[in-house]
Amino acid sequence: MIRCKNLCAGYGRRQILKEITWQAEPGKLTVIVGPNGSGKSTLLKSFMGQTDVCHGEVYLDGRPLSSWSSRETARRVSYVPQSRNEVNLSVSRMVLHGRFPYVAYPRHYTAEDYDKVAWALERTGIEELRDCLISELSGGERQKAYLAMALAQDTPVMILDEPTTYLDISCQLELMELLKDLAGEGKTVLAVLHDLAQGLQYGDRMLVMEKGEKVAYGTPEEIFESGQLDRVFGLAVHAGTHGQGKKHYWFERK
Amino acid sequence: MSVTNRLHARKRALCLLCFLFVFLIFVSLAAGAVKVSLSDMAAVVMGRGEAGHENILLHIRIPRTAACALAGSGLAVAGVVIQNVLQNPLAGPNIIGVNAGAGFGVVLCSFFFPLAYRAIPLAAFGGALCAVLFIYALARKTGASRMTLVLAGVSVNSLLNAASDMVHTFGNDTLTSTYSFRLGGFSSVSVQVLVPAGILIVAGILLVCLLGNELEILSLGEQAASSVGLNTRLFRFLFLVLAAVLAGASVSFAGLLGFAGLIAPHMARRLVGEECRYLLPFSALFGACFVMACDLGARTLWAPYEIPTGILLSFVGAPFFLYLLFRQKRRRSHD
Repeated sequence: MIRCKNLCAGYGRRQILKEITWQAEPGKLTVIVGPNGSGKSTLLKSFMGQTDVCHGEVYLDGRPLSSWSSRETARRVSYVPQSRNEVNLSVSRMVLHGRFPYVAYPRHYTAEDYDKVAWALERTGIEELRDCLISELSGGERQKAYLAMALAQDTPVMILDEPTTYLDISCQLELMELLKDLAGEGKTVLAVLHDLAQGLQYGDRMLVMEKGEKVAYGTPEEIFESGQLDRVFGLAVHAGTHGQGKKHYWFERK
Repeated sequence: MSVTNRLHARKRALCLLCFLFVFLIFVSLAAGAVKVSLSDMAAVVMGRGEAGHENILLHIRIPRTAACALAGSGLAVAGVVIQNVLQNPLAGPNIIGVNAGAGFGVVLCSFFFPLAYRAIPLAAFGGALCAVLFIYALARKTGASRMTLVLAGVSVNSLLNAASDMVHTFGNDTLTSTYSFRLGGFSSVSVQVLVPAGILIVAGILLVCLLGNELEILSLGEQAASSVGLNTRLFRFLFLVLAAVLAGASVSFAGLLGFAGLIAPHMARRLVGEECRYLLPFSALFGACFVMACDLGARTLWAPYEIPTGILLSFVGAPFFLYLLFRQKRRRSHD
C-alpha cells in the first residue's frame, strides 16, 4: 500500500512535484499520463525513494518511506526502469538478481529463489529464453525479461516507467494484458504510459499530471468525461463503441 | 553460438586457462640463464637439490614468477571492477589514471623516504585511491557521461605522469630505478615489497569474488541496482577502494604495466560473458598468464639481454587488442 501526502520532490534544488496527495489502489492497474516534463517519472522515482523530498512524505504500508531501509523497500516495491545497461548476462541470471533483497550474507541464492525465477519466467512466457544473453533478445523479449526480474522480486507494488516504449504494437498489447492480469491478482501496478488510447483502454485507474501537479484521478471513463485530457494535452478526445460493446478512443489536435 | 555450447565453452576455456597457468609457472621457473629442469626442482623441494639451483629458485625465479602472476591478476581484477562500477568498457586502471596515481605515490615515497620499502605499497595505494576517488567524484558531481569520464581520466592520467616526471627530474640521483618503474618490469622485484603487496592482492581478489553478485548488479545500471535494494553509493565506493588496493599493490612492485588491466577483462568478457563467478577468475588467470608469458619472453628472447616486461606487454598486447576490436566491428556489420 503506497501513498503520498503533500509531496514536493525533485532532484537537488530543482523541485518538480508540487503538493501531490494521492493513494494508489491495490489490485488496480493505474496508468499515469501527462505531457513531457509533467513529473510522471519523478513521481514513480519518489515512490522508490530515489528523489530528494523537500516537503511532504511518501508512505509505504503506513510508515514514512524514509524510515525503510533500501532492502526492505525492495521487498515491497519493484521497479522496471525505462532504460538500463545492456549487459551480457543470461536471462535467468539477471532475473535471479531480482531475489537480491531476500538473500542474507554471504548472498547465496537458494532453491526457493530459483523456483521464484522459474515461476517469473513462466509467467512472462520466456522460459525457453532462460539461457539466452540479454543482448541477444528482441526489444519485446527484453522488456519481458525485465518484467520477470521485477516479478521475481515478489512485491505487492510494481512500478513501470514507460514499459511499452520501443515495442511493436502486438508486444505492447501483450504487455498491457499481462499488467492487467497481475493487477487482477492483487498487486498494485503503476505504469507511466505515453499512449493515451492504451491507457484509457487497459487502465483501471488513470492519474493525469501537468507541470508537477496532480490534475485528475479516476477511472478512464471519469477522466474522459471530465475533459481534463483535452485540456492538458490540447486535444479533442473522442470515444466510440465497438461491435462488442467495448469503448475505444481517438484523438484530434485542436 | 547455441546455449549448451556456450556453457561448455565457458568451462573448457577455464580449464584450458588453468592448465596454461600451471604450465607457465613451471616454464617460468625453469627458463633463464641457468636452466633448472623439473627433476632439479623436485630435488630442491625434497631438500636434496644443488645449492646453486636452490638459490636461483628461492631468490630469483620464485619471487619473479609470483610477482608476474600477482601483478597480472591484480590489475586484471581491478580492471573488471572499474569497468563494472563506472559502467564503461573503455575504463581500465591504466586509462583513467589509477596506475599513474599509484606510480606518483611510489615516486614521491622513494623521493622523500628512499629506505622505506615497506611503505611503498601503502604509498601506491594512496595514490591510486586519490585518482579513483577524484574520477568518481567528478562522475557523481557532474553526472558526466561515459565519454566525459574517460576523457577526464585520460587527463588525470597525463597530469599524474607529468608530476612523476617532475619529481624524477629534480631527484635524479635518488631515483635511479624510476625509469624501469615507468616501463614496468620485474627485474628488480624484492621480496620485502612483494610479500605485503601480495597479501593485499590475494585478499582483494578474494573479497571482490565474494561480492561478485553485487558487482554484477551494479553493472545493470544505477536504477536497476537500487531498485533491488543495493546501496549503490556504498558499494561503488567500496569497489573503487578495492580496485585502488589491487592496482596500487600491483604497481608498487611491477611498475606501470599498462595493458594488463584492460586486455584481460576484455578477453574474459568475450570468452565467458559477464557473470562474475566466471568473469573474475577468468580475468585473474588470464591477466596472470599474459604477464607471465610476456615476462618470460622479455628475459629469454634476447638473452643475455633483458628488456623491461612492460615494453613487450604493450608490443604484444596492443596489436592483439586492435585485432579483437576489428574482429568485433566486422562481426557487428555482418549482423
